[in-house]
Amino acid sequence: MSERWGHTPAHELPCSKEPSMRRAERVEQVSLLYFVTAIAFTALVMGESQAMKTVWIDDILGMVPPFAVLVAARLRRREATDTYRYGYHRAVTIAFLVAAVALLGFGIYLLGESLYTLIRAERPTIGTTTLFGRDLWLGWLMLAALVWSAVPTVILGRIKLRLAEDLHDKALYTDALMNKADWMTGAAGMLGVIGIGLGYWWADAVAACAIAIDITHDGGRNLLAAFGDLMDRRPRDVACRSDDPLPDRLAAELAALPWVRRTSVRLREHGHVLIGEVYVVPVDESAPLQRTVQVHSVARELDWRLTDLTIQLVPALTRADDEEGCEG
Amino acid sequence: MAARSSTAERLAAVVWLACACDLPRDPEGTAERVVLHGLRVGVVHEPPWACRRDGHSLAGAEVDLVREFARARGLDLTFTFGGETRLLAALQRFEYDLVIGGLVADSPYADDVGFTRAYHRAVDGEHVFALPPGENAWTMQVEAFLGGADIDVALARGRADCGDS
Repeated sequence: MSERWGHTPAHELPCSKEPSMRRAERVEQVSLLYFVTAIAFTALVMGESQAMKTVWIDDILGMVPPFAVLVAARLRRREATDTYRYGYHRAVTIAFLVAAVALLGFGIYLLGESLYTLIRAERPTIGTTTLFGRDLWLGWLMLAALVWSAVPTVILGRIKLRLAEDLHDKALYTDALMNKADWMTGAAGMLGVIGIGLGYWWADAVAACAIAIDITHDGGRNLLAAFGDLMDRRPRDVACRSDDPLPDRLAAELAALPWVRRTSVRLREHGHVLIGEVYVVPVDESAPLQRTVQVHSVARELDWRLTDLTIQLVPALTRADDEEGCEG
Repeated sequence: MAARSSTAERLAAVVWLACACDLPRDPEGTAERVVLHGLRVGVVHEPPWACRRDGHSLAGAEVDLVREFARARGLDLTFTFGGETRLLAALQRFEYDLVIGGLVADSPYADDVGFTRAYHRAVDGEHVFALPPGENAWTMQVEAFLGGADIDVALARGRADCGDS
């Protein structure tokens, strides 16, 4: 593929990663289909339970990350256009910003509503339903719905986590973490429903509060991550736990070249790829073109995500005009 | 791994316990109290569901159903005739065990008191009995009775007794 300068290339995974990517897409498609069944089941049986309502909204918001991952998988292959010359890699970040705001907003709303239910001491009335001609307490179906919504989600989450680390895909990673934590939502909901059954009317609202706090927490964490991405924070590892060592490694590799005196590397994340500038101070002014090309090939060999670097040869790492103050 | 399985085991134990304990139960013990102290029923005037005949004796489809329910279980029965707002507010404070009188599920009181599931569907809405909020064992008993009751017969008698308006 020939790449035009000034057009961020579409992202191509190394061949070794392709099977993982296909698998990730399949897992996300399964997730989406599965969530639809869980949402429908919960909607049918949620009755007056505040905890079930909270779980239900959690499930609905849980559809956004798989959707974002699938859209991102399409967009990463799309070539940059004259209008969007940095490509479409950042669309994922926007999807995550939207999801984070939705999670945060709904989390706070549900927390307020659950607290209000608790303070007003509203008691959920959960009666009978008829299933296959037999009368049954609706609470049993709620428990079934909670198991149906939690157990496979946790399994899907564990599969996604492995794939996300392999693919260095943050969207997938966030989705996996949320899925993996779903057993807590399910367990809280079940304790709420069982509490109602045992005659503790407050159990439902307390469980709803716990789940709402978890949703708010997810929203806050994702919002910070999306904020960092949009502010061009320096790259972090896939779990957002520590800074990505890649900029330092690139700087070190370049400093090892015989003609390089000093370097400064500035990278930012655009979805899956890293975009940025490399400032190089050469020892002398000979062969600038060959040197620039050499920097490119060093970067390409270092990591498959370094697809769009701008290299500038500079006389020094501080600019002369920076010295001029206003008082001058 | 060990921590996770023990969480799952604990959860399974809670579920098993719940199954073993004959759920649901009433927070305020209404189902047991009606057996000991009798059934206190609030009645709203709404022919043919509930009305006062000749000035004082109560009649109507739902009044008949409640009498049948109390007879089948050997419960003492006290009727209080009154307005919907006052009776439902008292029901919310657990001063009655049941409020009847042509109540429908689509009601502004739905958040404050408990309703049975609809036992009869008509053009004016889904008919329900009102119960103290969150008394789920009691709710299930009333729902079980309504599920087995012959509503059409009760309604025909209610129309005859109250006069269909």
